[in-house]
Parts: sequence; C-alpha cells; structure tokens
Amino acid sequence: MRFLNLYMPFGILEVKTVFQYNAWFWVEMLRSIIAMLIMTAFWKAIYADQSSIEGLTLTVTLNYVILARALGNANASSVFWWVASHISKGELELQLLRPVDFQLMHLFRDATGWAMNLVRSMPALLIAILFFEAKLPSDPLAYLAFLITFVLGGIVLFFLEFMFGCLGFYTTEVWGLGILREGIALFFSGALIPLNLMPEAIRAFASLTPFAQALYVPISFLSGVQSPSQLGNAILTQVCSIIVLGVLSRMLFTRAARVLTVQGG
Amino acid sequence: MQRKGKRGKRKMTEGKADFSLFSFLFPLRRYLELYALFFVQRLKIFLEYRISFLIGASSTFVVQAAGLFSIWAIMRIVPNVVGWSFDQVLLLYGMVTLARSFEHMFADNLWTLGRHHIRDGSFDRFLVRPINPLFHLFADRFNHDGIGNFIIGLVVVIRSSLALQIEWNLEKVVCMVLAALGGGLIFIALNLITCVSAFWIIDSTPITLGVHEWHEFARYPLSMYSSNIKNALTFIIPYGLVSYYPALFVLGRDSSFLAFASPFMGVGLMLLGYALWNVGLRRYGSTGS
Repeated sequence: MRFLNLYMPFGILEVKTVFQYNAWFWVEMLRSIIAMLIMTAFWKAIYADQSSIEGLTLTVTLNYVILARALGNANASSVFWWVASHISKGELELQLLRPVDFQLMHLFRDATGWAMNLVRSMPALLIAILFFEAKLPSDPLAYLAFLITFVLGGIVLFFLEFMFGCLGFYTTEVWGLGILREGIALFFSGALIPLNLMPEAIRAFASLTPFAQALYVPISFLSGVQSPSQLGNAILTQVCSIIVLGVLSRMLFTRAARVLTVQGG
Repeated sequence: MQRKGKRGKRKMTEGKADFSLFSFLFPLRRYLELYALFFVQRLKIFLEYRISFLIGASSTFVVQAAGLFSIWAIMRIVPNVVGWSFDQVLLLYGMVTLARSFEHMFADNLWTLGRHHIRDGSFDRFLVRPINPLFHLFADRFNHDGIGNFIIGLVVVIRSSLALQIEWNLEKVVCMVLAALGGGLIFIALNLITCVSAFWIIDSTPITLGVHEWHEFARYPLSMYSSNIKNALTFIIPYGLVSYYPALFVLGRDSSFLAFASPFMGVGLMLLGYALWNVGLRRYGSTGS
C-alpha cells in the first residue's frame, strides 16, 4: 500500500500529461462533429422541398458549409491576439526594439501557422469526407485556385488583423475588442452560410471585406460554389485589397507606435 | 498547508466542513449579502475599465447577431424547417441564449477553475474563508460579458413571441420562466459536473467544452435530428429541455410534461454536481509549492 502511495503519482502524472495534450485534440474533433451534425440536419431540412436555392444544390451548399467549418480558419491571423497578450503583459516594447520589420516578422510567423493549420485540419476534413458527404473537387485547377486564394486571402486578413492590433495600442484592453472582431468576421466571412444566399446588397458588401476574401473565396473554389474560371477576378480583388490594406496598416502602425501605453512599464 | 499551526488548520476545515447537501441553502440571507459585497467589488473593476466593460457586454451581442442573421438570410428564402417558421426557430434560439446567459453571468469561474485556480494553488484562497467554497467561487467573479447574452436572449424571445402572436396564459408564462431559470441551472450544473474533473486532471476546460457544446443542437427544433441525438438531448445532456419542449408547449403544439422538466432536471443535476464537487474538494491537496 505504501509502495503504491509512493509510486502511483508518477503513473498518474504520465496520464495527466498525455491527457492534457490529447484532450484539446479530441474536444476540437467533437466540436467539429457536432457542428457538422447540426449543419447536415439543418440543410437537409431546408432543402426538403427544393432542389436548388439561388443556384446552389444541397450537395454544393453542404460541401461549402462543411469545408468552411473544417478549413475556414486555417489562414486566420494570430497577430491580433499576439499583440493583445504582449500589451497586457507589458512586453510589447521589447518586441518593437528588435532590429527587424515588426510587420513582416509577423506575416512570416502567421504564414507558417497557415501551413500547420492545414495539416492540423486534416482529421476534421477526413471526417467530413468519410461521414458527412463532403466532396473534394476532381478538377486540379480547383485545388490551385483554392491554394492561391487561400494564401492571398490570408495576407489580406493579416493586414486587417494587424490594424485591429494597433487599436489595442490605444485602448490597452483588447479582449472585448477581439470578440467584437470575431462577431464581425463571422458575419461577413461566409463562415456560416455561402455569401450567395445573403440578400444582394449585403452580399455585395460582404464579398469585398477581408473576411470573405480570406474565407469565402478559397472555400467557394474548393467546394464548387465558384468555378476555377473565376480565378482571375478573385486574384485581382485580393491583390488590390493587399495593396490598400498594406499601406493603411503601415500608416496606422507608425502613428500607433508613438502613443503605445505599456502597462506597468 | 497541513503543517500550519492548530489555528490555521482549524480555519481550513471551517471553510471545508460544510459538506452536507443543503448547507448551501440555509444561511441564505448572509450569502445574499455577501454576494452583494462581491458584486460591488466587481462593479468597481468595471468602472475602472469602462470601455472594456462596454465592449465586453456588446461583443457577445455581435457574435449572436451574426448567427441569427445567417438563419434569417436562409429562412427568408425557405421559410420552413421541419415545419418550424423563422420566428419559431428564433424563439428556440432566444430561449437557449437566455438560459445560457445565467451561466455566463453567474458561474463563469467554473470554466477556468483548473487553469486559473487549481494549477497555481490559488484555489486555497477559496478554502480558508468561512464561507462555502463553491459559493465563493461563483461570487468571486460576476461576468459582465453575459449581460449581452441575457439582453439578446430576452429581446429575441419577446420579439419572436410577439411575431408569433402567442396567446399567453398563466401556464405558458410559468413554463417560459421555469424554462429560463431551470435551463440556467442545467447549464451551470453540467459545467459544474464537468469542471470537477479539474481536481484530478487540472485543466478541465476541454471536458467542460465538450459537454457544453451540445447546447448548439438546442438552437434548432430537435425533430430535425436523428432519434439518438434527440434522446441524448432530452435525457443525457438535457439541453433540449431548455428550449425545444417548452417551446412546443408555448406554441400549443404539444403538452408533454417535458416542457416543465427543466427545473427538476436542473436541481437534480446541481445536486449531483455538488456531491461530485465535494468528492473533488476532499481530494484537493493544493500544489505543495
């Protein structure tokens, strides 16, 4: 008994460590499955009496919402939360002193993250294909269109997130700001429904937002909502967005860095 | 902790000694006064960070609005999901949000029990005071972000019931109020039951989230799902009792006793959660550092 009391904790520690890392993986899996179950049930019910809505069939719509759930956040930017956490810890000024371009440094950090996210979303994607009737395209051009718009869209979003981060320089408290941004993104990105199903005016506006550039555009190519022939237009819009937001975020950053309030610093 | 002098030890056990099931309820007045004190302290923090408070309370608003807008966008084209109109689905959505807001406002600390309190040993603070530790944990942090959920839930319920021209009577009003309060209890109790695992595995957030996430189902009519999911949401993770069954009753579609089951289920699950909590408490040995 004494022996057990003495050595059991070591065994339990191992269990705890393994569990800690795996638990998040499984819970994310479960959340994906729940979301997919709801989406499938909901859309099947919606399509019960019609074969096509706004030109989209049940298969394409389901494909879109499920792929958006599995891959939609893969090119998200973490720069906002990074700035937020460094502001609240009062460590941001050290980072600003580094002899590298602050913005480029983060863009590279994020881009590496996108690749890792794509790999990490594979299990969810696999579940989507195996159990939820998600279908990947057979046309190789669709994959190419997805990849190009995925990266360009990620850069568009990065510049916007960067500007949100700069706002944190002013308000010093950024948690609420972050959730606010998430709500806006959810609204306009096409994360919940394909933009095609939105009312015309909102759709026109939403499709120009960085959120849709980063999510709707690549996912619509991969799910078959858009055909690869529309790739040219999509790239043009994304490149223009990158130029405009890039310049704007540069300007905002130079101004914001001057007013930065460091907590406890 | 145990090496402290006799006095310290006695103090510890005083806070910890309240193990009988209903000890939580008896000194009600004292606890209400205490809650008010804690609340005022929280209010001072909000006043210190006013912008953050406003953004926090309105941010939940925006997230909910995005979800609602998507449902509206689709149902403007197809006004019927398994026989439910947009306003009826809205009613479900509002009821879930309203019930959830109670957990969000009053029991948000459960989410981070392991990460913020057990891991670094600061949970000791809840044990050395002469009040029930669970009460202390609840009262320690009123979360203002939940106010946004409360308001949007209430507004959506009122708006949809006006649009549906529900003929209210005493039974229906009672049903709605019980659904909201009992539903709130179900939300809190399921989080309590799952968060107790923090006493063993430290970070309980994934487990709590894994169960909590099921409430998403209850935003839509349960008849949409397979019977397995429907049964699970009625009897095992009973978020269905929060919205679907009371809504059926209020809409005059069905008068099953399940419409009134949420307070019973809520109280039952709370008692179970509290019993488990006490088991966990006995196991808690602080960090030793």
